[in-house]
Amino acid sequence: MVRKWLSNWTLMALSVFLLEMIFFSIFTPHFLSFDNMSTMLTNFLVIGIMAVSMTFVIISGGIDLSVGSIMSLCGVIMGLIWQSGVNIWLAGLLAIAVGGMAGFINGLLIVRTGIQPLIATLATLFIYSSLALVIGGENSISGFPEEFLVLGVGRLFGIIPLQLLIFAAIALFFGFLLQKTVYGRFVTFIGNNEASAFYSGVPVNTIKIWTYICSGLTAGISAVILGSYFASVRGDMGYQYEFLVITACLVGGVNVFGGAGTISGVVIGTFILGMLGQGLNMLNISSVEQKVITGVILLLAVAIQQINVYISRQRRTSPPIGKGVKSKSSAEIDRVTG
Amino acid sequence: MLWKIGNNRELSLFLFICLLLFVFAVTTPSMLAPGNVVDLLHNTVVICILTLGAIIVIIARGIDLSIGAIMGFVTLLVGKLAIAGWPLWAIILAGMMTGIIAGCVNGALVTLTKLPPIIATLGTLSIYSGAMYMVTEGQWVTNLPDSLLVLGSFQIFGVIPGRMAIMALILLGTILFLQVSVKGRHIYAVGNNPIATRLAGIKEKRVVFQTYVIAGLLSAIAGILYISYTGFSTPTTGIDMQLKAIAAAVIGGASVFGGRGTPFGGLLGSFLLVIIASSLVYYHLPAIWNQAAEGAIILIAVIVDSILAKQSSKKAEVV
Repeated sequence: MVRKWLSNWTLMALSVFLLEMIFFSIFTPHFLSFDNMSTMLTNFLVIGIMAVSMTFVIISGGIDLSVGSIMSLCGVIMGLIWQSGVNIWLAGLLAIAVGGMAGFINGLLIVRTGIQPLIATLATLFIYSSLALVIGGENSISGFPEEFLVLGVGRLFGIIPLQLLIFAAIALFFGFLLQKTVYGRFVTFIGNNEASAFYSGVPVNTIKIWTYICSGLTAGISAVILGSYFASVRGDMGYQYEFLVITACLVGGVNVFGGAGTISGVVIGTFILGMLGQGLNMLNISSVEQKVITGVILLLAVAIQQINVYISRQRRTSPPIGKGVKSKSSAEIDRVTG
Repeated sequence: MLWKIGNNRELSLFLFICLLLFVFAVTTPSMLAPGNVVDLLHNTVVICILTLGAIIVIIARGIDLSIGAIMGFVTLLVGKLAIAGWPLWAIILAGMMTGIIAGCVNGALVTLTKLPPIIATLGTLSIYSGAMYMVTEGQWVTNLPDSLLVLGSFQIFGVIPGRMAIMALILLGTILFLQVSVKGRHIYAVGNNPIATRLAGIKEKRVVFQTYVIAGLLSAIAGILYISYTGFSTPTTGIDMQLKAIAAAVIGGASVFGGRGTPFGGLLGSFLLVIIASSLVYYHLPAIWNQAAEGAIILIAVIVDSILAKQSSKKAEVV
């Protein structure tokens, strides 16, 4: 029973999330109040937006360390285009396109040259963040028009944060893409066994490039939303965001070696992290100590995943047939081992 | 001929560095004045020792993202102890012990819990760097006593800076360890083929564990040399150093697929990063270009690698 529950990652993440919510609502006043909840949401949804597309990258067996830098770059580009007199919405779209281009470069590098994704995106992390600082300068760009700020802080009917709607739309889209389309199944296939995917006629390279393009596009979207939320953009606005995004994915149960993961899990993972941040803030725990706690949670999440894999492998490979035991029905084996 | 040079990473990197230095010597002669060359070497000390640690882990197919944080933590700890009046030998011992313990934690996480190295050390990275703030409560560590600073400024025979001699000794030790000793060959063996290594009777996990401990120890030494030279440390010291060290390792010929990389290549890689960073100053370019240059060099190094690998596999097929 316990083991089944442990091996269903989404269910476990959900219960961790609920436990967390109960814990914080006991120890901090007004935690479950409507205002607090909606403020909390707007603090971390951009991480979730990048995490759902990072899920594809990780499932296909890669990793994208450059999302934070792409985000900085897109933010700065949006600000500069707007400053040169272009409509802010158009500037935002152009910035998202730049994010897609940056992702395309990542994908092309990885696919064409066969560099490990870790090293390739480490290099582009350096390059993009440096570019963002070079073209953006050290000062922030601000003074966006009122109607643009709605994107970050606005609410539908005065209740539902717009950010939440955007996040929900993106998460649904990617969830559909992963579970219900050929593309999503191919991504999982590649993550499980790239060679056999290739020999089965799956266009491995194209699919891999598209995972990085999506990652870049969502980084661009996040930049636009964050720029609207803070009403300013800076060359270092995405600094170290990649760690948060990857943590959200892994807490959400995406296998870091590729081949497995769900969007629903990642959404819950994002909420676990976001709620943790807000709750710890309300308990007056400094951001540095929060960093430590996040690190511990990351380690725990992946450790439990690995234990699960280990257990399921044990069950598959070694039914306890041996000395003095002639045979056992599968029900008995299940009872003994599980 | 060219082919051979291309395939020998240390030689090709060495020639590339010579070419760069020649270009600098022609265009900005002041950069290669004797005093500046000594400065360049001084700047190489810390990053080179960190890179050696990174290389040893990478050879065994691991990766250690926490070495920068270990280094930063040790600088703060060492500074605090020096201010508290500890003698130099006790400070060095404490710093090195801290590095070893942190390395043991990494190694245990990677080998015992089967966490992927990048995740395990990403987790410990945030733990160690959080610990840095807790030790100092966000304050800088300055006003160090001379007892510690002497380590950064002493000179052998009044000529050779002591910390460079220490770096040379460590480099020599790593070369001997990795390329001559049996234990070092085990590390290469694990990186080339972990399963075959296990079947050959080598305790593969123990070897991997040791690589993380050595990386922890080397980062601690780098930390001690850092603070004894600069005379201060902040809670953000070392924050991105692990990325630089890994970059230097990759430029120096280490492969993240394991089994490849040499200490001498690590020295050349870190030296290349240092001369490029300081050349920006001489060409009056803003320092923020530094990262872009680093990224570009990593890319060039790995792309050249993969092209060479493809060609050599083609050659093998023909033969």
